Amino acid sequence: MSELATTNLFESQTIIADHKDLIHDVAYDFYGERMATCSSDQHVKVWDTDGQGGWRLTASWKAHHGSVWKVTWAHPEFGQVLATCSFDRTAAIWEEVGDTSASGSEKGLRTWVKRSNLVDSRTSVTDVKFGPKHLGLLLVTCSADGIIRIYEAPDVMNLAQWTLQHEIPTKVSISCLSWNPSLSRSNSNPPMLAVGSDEPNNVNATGTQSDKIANNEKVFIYEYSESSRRWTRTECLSSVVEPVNDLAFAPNLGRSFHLLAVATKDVRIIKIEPLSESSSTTNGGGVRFKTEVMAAFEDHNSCVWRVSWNVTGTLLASSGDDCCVRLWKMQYMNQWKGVAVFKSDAASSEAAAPARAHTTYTRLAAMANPAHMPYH
Amino acid sequence: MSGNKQDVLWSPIHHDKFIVWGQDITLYEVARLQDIEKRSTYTQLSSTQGATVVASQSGSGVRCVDISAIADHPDPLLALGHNSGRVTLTSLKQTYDPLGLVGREFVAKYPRPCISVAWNCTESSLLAVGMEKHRSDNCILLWDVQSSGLDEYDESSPTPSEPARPLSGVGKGETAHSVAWCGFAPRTIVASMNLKHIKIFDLRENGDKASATTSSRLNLGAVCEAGGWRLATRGDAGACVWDARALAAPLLTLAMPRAPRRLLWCPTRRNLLISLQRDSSTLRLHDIQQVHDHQSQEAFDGVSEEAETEPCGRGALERDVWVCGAPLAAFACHPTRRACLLVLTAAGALSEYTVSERVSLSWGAGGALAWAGGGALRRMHPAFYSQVRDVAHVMRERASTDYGLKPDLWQNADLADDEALSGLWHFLALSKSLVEDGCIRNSPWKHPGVRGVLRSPGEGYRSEAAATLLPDLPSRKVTTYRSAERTRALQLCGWGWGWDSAGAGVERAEAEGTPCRAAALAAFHLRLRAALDVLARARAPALRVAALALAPCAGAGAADERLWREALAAAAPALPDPYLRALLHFLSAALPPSAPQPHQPDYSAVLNETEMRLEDRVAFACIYLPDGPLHEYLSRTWTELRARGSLAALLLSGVSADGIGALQRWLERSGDVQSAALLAARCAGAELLRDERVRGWLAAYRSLLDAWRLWWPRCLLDTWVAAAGGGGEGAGAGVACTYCGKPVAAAATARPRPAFARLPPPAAKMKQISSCPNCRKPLPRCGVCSLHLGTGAAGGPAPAPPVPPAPPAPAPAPAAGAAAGAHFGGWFSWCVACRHGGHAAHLLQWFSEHSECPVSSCTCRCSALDPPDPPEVPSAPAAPPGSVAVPSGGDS
Repeated sequence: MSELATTNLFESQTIIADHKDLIHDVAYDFYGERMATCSSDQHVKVWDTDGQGGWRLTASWKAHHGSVWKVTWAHPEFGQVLATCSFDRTAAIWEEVGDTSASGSEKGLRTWVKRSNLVDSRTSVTDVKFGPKHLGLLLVTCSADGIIRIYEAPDVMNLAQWTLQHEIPTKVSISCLSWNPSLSRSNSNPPMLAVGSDEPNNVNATGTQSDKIANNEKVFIYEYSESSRRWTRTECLSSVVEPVNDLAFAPNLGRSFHLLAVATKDVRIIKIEPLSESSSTTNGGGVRFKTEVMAAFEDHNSCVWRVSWNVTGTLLASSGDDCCVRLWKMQYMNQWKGVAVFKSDAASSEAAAPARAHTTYTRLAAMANPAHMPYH
Repeated sequence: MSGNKQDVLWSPIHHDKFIVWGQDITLYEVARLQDIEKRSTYTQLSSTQGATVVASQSGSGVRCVDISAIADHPDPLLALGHNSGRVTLTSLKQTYDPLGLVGREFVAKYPRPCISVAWNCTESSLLAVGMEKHRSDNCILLWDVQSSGLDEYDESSPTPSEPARPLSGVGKGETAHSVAWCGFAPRTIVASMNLKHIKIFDLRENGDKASATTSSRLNLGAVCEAGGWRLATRGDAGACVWDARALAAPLLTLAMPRAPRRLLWCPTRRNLLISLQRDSSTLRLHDIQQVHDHQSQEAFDGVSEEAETEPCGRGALERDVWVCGAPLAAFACHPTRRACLLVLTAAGALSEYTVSERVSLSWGAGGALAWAGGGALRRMHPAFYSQVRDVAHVMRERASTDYGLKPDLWQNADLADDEALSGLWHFLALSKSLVEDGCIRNSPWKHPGVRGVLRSPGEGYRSEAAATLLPDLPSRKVTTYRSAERTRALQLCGWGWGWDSAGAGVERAEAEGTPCRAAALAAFHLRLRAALDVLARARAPALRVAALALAPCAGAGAADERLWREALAAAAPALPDPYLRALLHFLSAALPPSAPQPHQPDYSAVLNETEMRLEDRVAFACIYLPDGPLHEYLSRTWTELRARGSLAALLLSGVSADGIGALQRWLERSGDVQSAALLAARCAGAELLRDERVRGWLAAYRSLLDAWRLWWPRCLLDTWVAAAGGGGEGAGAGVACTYCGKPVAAAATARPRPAFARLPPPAAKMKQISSCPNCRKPLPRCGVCSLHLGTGAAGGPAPAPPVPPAPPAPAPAPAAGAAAGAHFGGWFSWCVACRHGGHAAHLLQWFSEHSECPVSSCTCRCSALDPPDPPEVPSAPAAPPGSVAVPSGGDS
């Protein structure tokens, strides 16, 4: 037990979520003070901090008729709004309201009301994301049949009305998408989406060689063109050819390039650098980006499930088939390196109650001390 | 046939025991590796667990096995179905047998092979046996092992060998290929019959009739979900999932390339079906998805109801897991441990495998990482940041100390807690004071850099070369260069011109505990005696030894000098301190071997000591390099630093257009948008603040501060930006008259216009205004006190609730209510949903007791539009981003 004592300090806090099935998504709100979870038990739960680092369940409701795949928060500017998507082929918009049955003293009680149900998809809706707030109240969904749909609420006070602005067919099954969170709005940075496909690679593809190559790419970048008012595919990342489970743009904190984390067979960090207008026009306008794989980590055995960035895009967390959550940190000169592993220790759970699985913290590498860097 | 049949089974009640059944039936016990005695042989299952053999017996003639769930049996009790038709109970190990069950036999009336046995898990004494066909006997027999045992004793029958009779039986003249108990009802069995049918028998009814039946080609090995209605069967082409309530058509058909050998529902997770295909080395997990609740209660989404009548509301997420690389023969799920599988390879090796489910995770803005795995939410411990220095955490710590927002630039240096950053803040403070004192003029930037001060030689600029005497070595001369520009550059580097100002620098460096730097500075100013004194005073003995090396040059004869110089050149690289090395290089280069003719000494060794601070290197170059090489040196250094994204590059560029580029590089390298935004807000002029990149930094940092709920630092940042002429974007809220559309507050501030001095607007004299200063139409009324907005709220009868002081610098100036200087309680405030509003103090008071809008007949729940406040914040904060109390429109 001595080794347990030393890791006690880093034992993380555990809450029994009481979902009756697999939890598919966890989402923090803009402030990091509320958390929403969704699960195969068709329920969505909302947790609030109690101010002492603990979590309090404040709402739980049955949101869909099938597994709820993803849950996401809108910017608080639009109120307390959640969007969920589900296997039941719908996406839903939820708004929190004060409990109408409560009297004045109990107005702290909250309920969530379904404001809108987006039923355009004919197949399971696999991901839903709110757009960056400077674009207004936008919502994008993608479905297993490969159609990306972009909705807009023309009146942000009326969440019941969503108009389907764009429908982008992709012909491959789409599993995940991510908005480019870049804040600046200019011609060089039009609204941008990255989508990932989980279409399995068909080994016995009978198509021509060129078809095969085209089918093997799994990550696509779409951009909105103000002039043609259309979303067009401007880039296929040729470096990713395995099914993609998740992807995420890093928060763009004034960087001149974008960082995209991709969860596929490995954790990949891809740098997407917009080429300047002049060079792209000399290239015939076809090439908009220079992409470069900054890192590819295969530490999760064969499959990476999820990736998530911290607020500055300097730490990346990933989870995968090895039951671990791993953290990757940007070092100097854009080198990436694993800094921590959180292992959901299954072996220790048999001794205690089965639910009391605890997590130990393992440190991988000592950080380079900034004092060791040569000073100029 | 049974010879190559292999299987592995967990005991449903003894969670550390399992059997492997093949040629032999072997009972294993699982223990942690360190608990297993060293001498005993064990099979390693995983990195922490091993299994030891407890008992074994021959499995010849055994056709099927199941382990009973009888709770008070010390060891797993097995039912073995034999080819002869007998079913025997055994425990493999000779132990205490409280129930007297071991060794009991149940024999069918007509002997034929017994194909399947299954213990009931809830009524643990029930045993179902599936048998081959016999025309006059049932193929499924139900035995109650305990009561028939009791019968034997109670009756004390004279012939104890008289076979016990089965409790009931069904399926006369049929073959039961597999039997399994159903989880949804007691005493209900699902069986695969005659290679054709799937039948469900309710054994509570007497009668041979199946309560449900269907025929399918995929009809083998029916298994039932625990506690659910779903069944799974397998066949040659794959597997099928059925709903026991509607057996007519399968819910789902799962096609597989090879025939599945075994099919199990995961006992610890709903909806998960695990299959093993023949000769496969992977297990396939089927996460069965189904749209439940076809009759939607919510009437309003009629569209989805219509959609649900289509049959495609179900599917399965399939995933292959690779367990150990070898072809698998069998697997078993641990009855309680989550997602724990035991697999048996065809070669007979055992291993444990944990199916990892999708762990989803999310970072919070506050730096917390939460992830959901195994049914629980976990959160990273905050102590993580004491181990890993992440810039997000550092930035948040700094932001809460008002880093970058202190009135004096140098005050920010201490808060930065980073050497490079604090050096930069000091440099900026210095350059600001130099510009303000008039030492540096004609600079287009508020904070010029060395390169901005030193013009390039092409611009008709020449500095004067002078031979300078060494005060301690009267016979030697060293060429130095001076000009007004160089003086300014030296000032920027913190050196100053001449020994008068440099002497103070030497003392400072010595006081800071860097005697080597002090000595080098003194030597670069040709004060060798002072350098020796500094080194002699140094604590570290090594430095005093180093002073020995300097000593000869102060008084050595010319004869020894060559020797000394060579010794210096050899010793210098071995010295640990860059300043000492530079010092020696300088001496050996600067003091020419008694050659009277002017020559250009080679200082590259000094300049290449990149561990020296940049300002010292640059200042050195400014003294000793002629114009051409100096310019070239600066350009080279700049290019190199900029390419590296070093913060020190700002010394050369200052905060200029070039400097913004260097900051951008540094930001991309370090991720520290905070310092970049703050430096820009404090030091860049209006022109630079319009730069696309700078606006991006400011927007990103504002959004970060918002996410951290650090409103006041954000307000201060906006104030600085607005003061620098960058425009107060981000807080652009204003109050405009609903009739004429002109801003109400701006008119009040634009009041003293000389042209109208004779006719001062009425608002000028009043403390508060109650009508639009432009069109004189009245302002809207407060919903609570019914007075016009703009009139003071202080006259209200009730004491105002504790209102936090207004932000120190109301950067969004127009938001400060109608009348300049109005008390916070008198501010405009309204709900963006119903557009009713009033005085802030009145509304706060109203909503402390009510949740609906104060305007009669309006049922808007204005106060409930915002999220509940986090508990640590008092109940009535200014809540900037909310929908109440943020002015954004003019009508009410």
